[in-house]
Amino acid sequence: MRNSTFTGLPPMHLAVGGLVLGLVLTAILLIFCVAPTEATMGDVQRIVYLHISVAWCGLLGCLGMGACGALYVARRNLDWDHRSQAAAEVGWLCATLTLVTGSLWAHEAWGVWWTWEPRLTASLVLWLIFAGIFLVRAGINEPHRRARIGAVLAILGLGDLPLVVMATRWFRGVHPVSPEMDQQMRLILLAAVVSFTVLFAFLAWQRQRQLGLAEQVAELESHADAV
Amino acid sequence: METLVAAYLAAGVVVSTYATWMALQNHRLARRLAELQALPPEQASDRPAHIQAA
Repeated sequence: MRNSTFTGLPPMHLAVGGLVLGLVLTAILLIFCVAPTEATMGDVQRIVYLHISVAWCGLLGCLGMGACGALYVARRNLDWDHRSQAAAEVGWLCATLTLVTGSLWAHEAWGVWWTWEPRLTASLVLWLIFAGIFLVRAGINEPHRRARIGAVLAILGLGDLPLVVMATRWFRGVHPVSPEMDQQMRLILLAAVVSFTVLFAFLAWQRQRQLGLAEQVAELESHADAV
Repeated sequence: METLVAAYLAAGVVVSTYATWMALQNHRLARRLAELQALPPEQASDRPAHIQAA
């Protein structure tokens, strides 16, 4: 397939990327122009659509990282490690945005930027798990060794997922169990979650493809140096 | 309102920075791959089969 000159991406991939961007922009338009204004918090409540979407994607990223890591351990195919790493990167981005948007909303709702309540703490731990895995992987040069250790850490990192999800039910804290929303708000929330999931899935797909390309280049370079 | 805009701007900046970084990486890798695949035959014969076929 012929690639685009600058990005090295096939035209079909660029077209899909354009569609994904259009989907996200439509969701943002719905959030700002169609979603009703919430009675208590006013316009700032619209952060919740973004916050829930990226939080969901962060959890999906962690799940993808662990699942692909487990598949690498089972099959010893580096493609699974690339998928795991791509999911981890996108998951970490989403975890970062979750903390940032949550903090902005918390300042408006509770008057504080941060509080050590269960869900927030578990979410911070998730962010630290991602960051820790990146640091460990960066220190290992050999691809299969890096994949093996990364996979073990990714599988262990899955342990935080139930804590993040169930923290509001298992422990007492100030984070809402579920947002109070009418039917129209819930539909727009669903649209936002779907569109951001598609966006981050697209980014993870492209990153995984790029990691495979980088491995190809590294192999060719090592053979060229050997000659 | 500023808080709301700041939240969506932060998300936009983060995502577009990551996407731009990936695009630049792709550009660099595609160029490097083209250079390596244009190597003379005596160097090409040492390439693994799955890369020769790529």
